[in-house]
Amino acid sequence: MADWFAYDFMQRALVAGVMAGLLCGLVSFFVVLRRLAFVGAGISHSALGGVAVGVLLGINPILAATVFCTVVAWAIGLVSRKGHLYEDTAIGIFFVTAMALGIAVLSLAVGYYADLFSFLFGSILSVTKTDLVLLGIMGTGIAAFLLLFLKELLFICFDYEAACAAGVPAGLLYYGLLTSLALTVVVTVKILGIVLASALLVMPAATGYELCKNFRGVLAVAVADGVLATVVGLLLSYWLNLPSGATIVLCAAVLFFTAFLFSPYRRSARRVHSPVS
Amino acid sequence: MIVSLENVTVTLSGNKVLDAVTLSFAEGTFTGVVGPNGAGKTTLLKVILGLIKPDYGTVRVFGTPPAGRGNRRHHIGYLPQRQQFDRRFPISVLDAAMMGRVPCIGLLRFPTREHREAARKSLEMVGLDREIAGRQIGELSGGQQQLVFLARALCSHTKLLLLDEPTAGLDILAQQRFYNLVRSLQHDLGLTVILVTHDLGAVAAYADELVCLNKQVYARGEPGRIMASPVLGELFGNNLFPRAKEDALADGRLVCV
Repeated sequence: MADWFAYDFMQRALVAGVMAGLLCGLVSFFVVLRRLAFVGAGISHSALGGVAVGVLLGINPILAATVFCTVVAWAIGLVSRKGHLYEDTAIGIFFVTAMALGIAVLSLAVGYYADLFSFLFGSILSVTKTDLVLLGIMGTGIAAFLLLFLKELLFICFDYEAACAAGVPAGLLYYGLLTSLALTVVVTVKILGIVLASALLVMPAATGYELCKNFRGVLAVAVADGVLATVVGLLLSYWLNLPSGATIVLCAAVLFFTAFLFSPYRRSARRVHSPVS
Repeated sequence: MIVSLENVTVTLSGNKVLDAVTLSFAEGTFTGVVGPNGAGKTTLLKVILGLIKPDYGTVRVFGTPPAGRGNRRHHIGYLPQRQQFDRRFPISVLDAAMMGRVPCIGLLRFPTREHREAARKSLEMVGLDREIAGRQIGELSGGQQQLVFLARALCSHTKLLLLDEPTAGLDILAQQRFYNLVRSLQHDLGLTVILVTHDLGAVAAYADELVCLNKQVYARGEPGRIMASPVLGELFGNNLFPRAKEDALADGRLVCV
């Protein structure tokens, strides 16, 4: 393990990978449960608009993306919950608008394209100590919110109406969930990039779904899968000289398809449906 | 009165769904609310639950407005209309029943052994044995799932039970078992039950009182009187009512007065 771990940038990348894997695994549980996969993809793509606005205004692009993604997430939630538009229609409109804004604004900022590439496809090896602190603070806050309100979030994911009737502040928690999703996208963009960030918001929990019947198991597998995919992907990308973001996503995909093929539930279902010889 | 509505009017998307409805429900009674599609039955329950705010009128539940019930929230059990849910949703039967304890547990607190035990007792009350508690909710039949949701509605010191079309999609035997169970639970626990349904014949055989609703309250009274009155013909159309009535009379569940 020695040589790669001697580099500061690899140590930081590994810590960032573990933290992002933990966070994405946890958030993905709710994304899959509440069927927010397309919302995650929409928010991550709209991060480009935030980055562009940050560049144009001369402020930290990540900070600008944080505000931008959160506003887009709330807008998607508001428009779809009020029934003005279907959720997927709202996402389709908001995320292409935000991306178009990003491309238009960035075309004005001459010479920015090298950095843009790292935002689009991620650059975990360029993670700074400040990025780690930001990831740590945001990750702790998001994890605290999701775990403290776990029973209420589960309830609204399962039966929204009954949860409202039971006095659960479902609207507030839904927006809290969207905010958590937006913030997770922002901190993941540095590692996986805008294009691939949404992958880790779906695949870890999708893998857990294939292997476990109970939410505790799904949650545990999702978190473990997120960390494993990130760490193994990072190391493979270093050894094979591949783009880190793409390698991490490919590792998550391999884990998912393995779980899918060997899922005990699918196998038992096949046994039930196979004809008696 | 546990629930009282006075002159309640609700408009949704420009349509008047409830029009000056005045109703009250006494403690320990089993009331069936019947009416055709779009009559405002589900809206009535949602108004009682505080999920829909009326345009006009006052609503009192346990003597306070629904939105301000605060610590009385856990006295209300609600079984919504059957909804399709992901059969692979990763919760056990016990987890699903435990959701009914959420108002008792409160925000930022975690369930304890006491809460789990209460959920198990609720499952037993509706006739589901302890072995089933660990199974995934999606593995159960529709009738069993409905019993789990009834257990969820009962497991938080429930005094008022609101049921919205609880037997929709169940076969006749399962419907009868369900109504018998609700009736015996109501008797044993002293519950006030408000049940919304299209199933006139069945509810008439079990309820203490029927309310005929079609945006307004057309009639209320003992089931026998209501079933014999011409109001149901006005509400449901003359083709439907005689059949429901004849069925109920034929199998001896109903005696007209």
